Amino acid sequence: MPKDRKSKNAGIEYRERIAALSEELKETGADPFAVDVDHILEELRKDYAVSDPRILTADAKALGSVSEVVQMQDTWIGKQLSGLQVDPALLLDRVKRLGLRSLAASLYSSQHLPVGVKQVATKRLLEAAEYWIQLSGWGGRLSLPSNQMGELLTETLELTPEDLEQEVKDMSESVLQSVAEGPVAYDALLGQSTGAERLKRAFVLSLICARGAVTLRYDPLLGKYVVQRAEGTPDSSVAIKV
Amino acid sequence: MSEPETEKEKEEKLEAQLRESARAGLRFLLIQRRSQPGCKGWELKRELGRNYLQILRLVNGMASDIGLKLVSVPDEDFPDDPDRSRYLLVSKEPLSEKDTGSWLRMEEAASLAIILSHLFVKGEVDSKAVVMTMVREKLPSWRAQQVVSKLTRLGYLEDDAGYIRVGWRTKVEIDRDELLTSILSRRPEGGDPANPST
Repeated sequence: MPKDRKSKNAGIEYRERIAALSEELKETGADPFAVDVDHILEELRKDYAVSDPRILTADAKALGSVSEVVQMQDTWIGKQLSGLQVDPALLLDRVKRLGLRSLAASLYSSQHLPVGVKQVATKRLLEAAEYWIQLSGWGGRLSLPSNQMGELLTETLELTPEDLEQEVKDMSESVLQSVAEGPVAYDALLGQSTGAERLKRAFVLSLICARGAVTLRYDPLLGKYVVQRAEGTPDSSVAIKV
Repeated sequence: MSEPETEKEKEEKLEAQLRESARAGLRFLLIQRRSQPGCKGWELKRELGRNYLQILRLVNGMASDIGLKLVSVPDEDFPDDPDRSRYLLVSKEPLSEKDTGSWLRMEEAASLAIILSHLFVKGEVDSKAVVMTMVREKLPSWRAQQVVSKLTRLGYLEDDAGYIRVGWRTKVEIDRDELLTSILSRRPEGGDPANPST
C-alpha cells in the first residue's frame, strides 16, 4: 500500500535524522539543551507497535543517539557547575570594548608556559659548526651583474591590491601542486623569468610563505633554498637574493 | 649475622626509594625529547613502574618547590585512560612579558584571548566563520587570517573542517578561569574611571 509505505519511509527518515543528531552536536559544539528530547521520544513512541525490522533497526540507532544527547546534557551541567559561571553577553561586551593591549595582557596573565630542557647532540653541534664555517663573513658586498642591475633599475613594477590578490591566488595553487611531492628549489619556482617579472614572482612567493601554506628551508646538501609545505612552528623571515 | 630490619628502617628505605623515583620522574619530565613538551603516561609507566601515578604526586611536590606544577592533558579519544594522557611541567605563576620574550606578539595574544573567551562559553568549538568575524572586529581581514593560521599551527587552536576548536596547547598553557576573570575585571579603554566595573 503506497500510503503505508510512504509513512513508513518518513518514519525511517525521521529516525535516521535523530541518529545523526549526537554526532552533529559533537562536531558543531551546539547547545545540547536545544534538542527537545521529550518530543523526540513521543514521536518514536508513536510507532511502538510496528514490527518492521527496518523501523526497529532505525529505532535502536535513534534511541542510541538520544541517550548520547542526554549524556552530553549531563556533561554540560557538570562543566557549568565546576567552572566559573560567566554571562556570555557580558563577556562579549567586555571583549568588544577592550583594546588589543588589554586583551593581550589578559592572556599573558593566564598563561603558564611549559618548561623543558633541550639538549644538543654532538653530531648536530658539528653540523652547525661546519655550516657556520662555510658562511661568508658579514659586510661582504653582494654585487649584481651590471646588466641585471640596469634592468632592475629601469623596469617598473606596478601592482594594484586586486591584481596582487589574484596573483597570490594563482601562484598559490601552482606552488602547492609543485611542493605536494616534496621540496622544490626556490629558483625552480621563480622559473626563467627575469627583471620585474622575476621580482614580482619572488614577492608573491614571499606573501604565500607569510600566509603559512609553504615555507623556505636552506638545504646544505644542495647549497640552496628549497620551498616545502609548512609544518610545525612558524619560521623567521630571511633575506634572499633573487 | 645481620640484624633483621625494623619497621622503621623498612619505612625509611621505602621513603628513600620513592624519593629517588620522584627525582627520576622529575628529570624525565624536564628533558624535552620531541617537539611537543612533556611525555605520555605510558612512557612514565615504563620509566617509573606501575604505581607511577602515586609517584607523580611526589613529583608535583618537588616541582612546586622550584616554581613549577605538573599538569595532565587527557587524550581526546580516551579521556579516562591516564596512560594515554600527556604529562608536563608548566610554570606555577604566569610569566611576565619580559620573561617570555616575544613568543606571541600583542596582536596574536589579543586575538587568542578573543577567540578563547568565545570558545570557552560555547563548549570549546564554533564555526570558523563566526570566529573570524570576531577577530576581524579588531584586526584587518588579512591580518586576522594570518593570526588564526599561526595560532592553529602553534597548536593553540584546531581547525577541524570549518570548525575551530580549543587546541592541545591551550589546554596545557591557558587557565580558563584566570583568563575569563582577567577579561571581566579589566577596565575598558575610555570607561568610566569612577566605576571600574564599566
